[in-house]
Amino acid sequence: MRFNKYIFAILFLVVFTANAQVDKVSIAITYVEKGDLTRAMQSIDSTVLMPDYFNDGRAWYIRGYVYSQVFRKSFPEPKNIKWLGEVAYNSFLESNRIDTSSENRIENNKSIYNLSVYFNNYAAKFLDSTNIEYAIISMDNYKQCQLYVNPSTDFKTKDIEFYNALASVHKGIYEKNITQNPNDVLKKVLEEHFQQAIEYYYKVLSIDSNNYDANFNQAILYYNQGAEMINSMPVDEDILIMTDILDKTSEIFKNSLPLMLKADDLRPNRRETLVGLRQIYQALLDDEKKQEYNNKLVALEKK
Amino acid sequence: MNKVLRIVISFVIIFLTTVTRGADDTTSKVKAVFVYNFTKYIEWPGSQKQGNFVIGILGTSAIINELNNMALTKKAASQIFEIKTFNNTGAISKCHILYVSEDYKNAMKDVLLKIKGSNTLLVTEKPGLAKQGAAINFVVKDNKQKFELNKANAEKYGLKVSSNLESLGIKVE
Repeated sequence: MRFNKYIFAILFLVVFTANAQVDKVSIAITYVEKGDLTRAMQSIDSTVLMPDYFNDGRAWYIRGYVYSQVFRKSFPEPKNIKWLGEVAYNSFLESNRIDTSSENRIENNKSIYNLSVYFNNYAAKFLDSTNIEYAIISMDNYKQCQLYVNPSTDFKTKDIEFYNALASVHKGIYEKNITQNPNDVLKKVLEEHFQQAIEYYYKVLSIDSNNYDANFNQAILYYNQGAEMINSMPVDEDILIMTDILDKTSEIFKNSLPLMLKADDLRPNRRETLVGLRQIYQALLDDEKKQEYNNKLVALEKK
Repeated sequence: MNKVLRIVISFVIIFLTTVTRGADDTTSKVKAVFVYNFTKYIEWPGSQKQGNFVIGILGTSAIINELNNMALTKKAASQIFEIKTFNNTGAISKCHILYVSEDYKNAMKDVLLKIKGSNTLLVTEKPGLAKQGAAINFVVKDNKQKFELNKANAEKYGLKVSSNLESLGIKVE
């Protein structure tokens, strides 16, 4: 286990001070050094409750450090991660409150920044494992830490990246399952994922309307929703019901079109957008436009 | 700063490369559903209610696959669907429904000659053909698939169109 200079300084103090009270902090540090983080937590938890340490900024700093180390190694247990990270954060804050010296503040803030990196990484990991709820919590915690260290932090880029990723997870769940002939209950759940995906793409576009990924993916999402409604229609569907379905799908395809056109504007003549536009125009039964984009596609593929 | 901390994981935007679902031809599916419904809302003479229910397609069209799929599981009342394809007007044989693809939009005269005197519902997909002999003609209106219905052209072949279907189609006389 690697320690920073500040912890060495604390360790030095406690070892060379003939003060039995300070030794309590050193016990936790020793456990950390041995890699026994559970006992380190137990030790520092009881230490900071003691009257002599309750107002000791270093003790709270060590508590934050111990918990952040446990936090870092705790994936993938969501509840504990949230708790461990928050205990670490609050301990650093408490340390700053008690000891306002610049050295202590610098070290605590550095640790809070490090904690933010862990939260960010956990947010990504939770997204990968489609644990959306904890990904969002981790991202909120990341922002909290970052704002503490630097109140003027601009999250625009991070938000775009995170919302796009969240939308893609919802979109993926929806698209993977909607074609599997889901029952009504599952259909409702999938519909929620669809709405969530749309919502997050809109969030991205509200920050940056020129975001290619949000425009393109949202267009695809709408198109596929409409196509799926038609494809899943039984061939003996009554004509009246089909007419209603076609009214709905026509609106859905119309929702898709401006987004895909925007994506094509942002990155002209990409195969994926040309295919998308050809398909959307075909779904809108606009043969002329469909042919126009088909010609562009053929020209692109000849290059 | 601890080395580990230097590694900041960025979000992997998964499913980003999702493309439109295949080369979906949603139009063919819609037209196939319409065709199936025509078998429900149009009545053929009693003599045509025996044997297979034949749907002929003149020319190439993506609807053939949809109709073949339909024929595997559905029936026209108690009649089994039989899907036939014709490569030219000369090959047209007796069928309950003749679907003329866009390839043969200019061959109406020949088509009409071939089905003369039969109980065939002529279905086309080119603007104006309902006035040139087709009973049903698929058209696009407001980005939606609609159909024109020329009731007289259906009755000419001994077919009875239900009022429900009439109310849904665009009337052509």
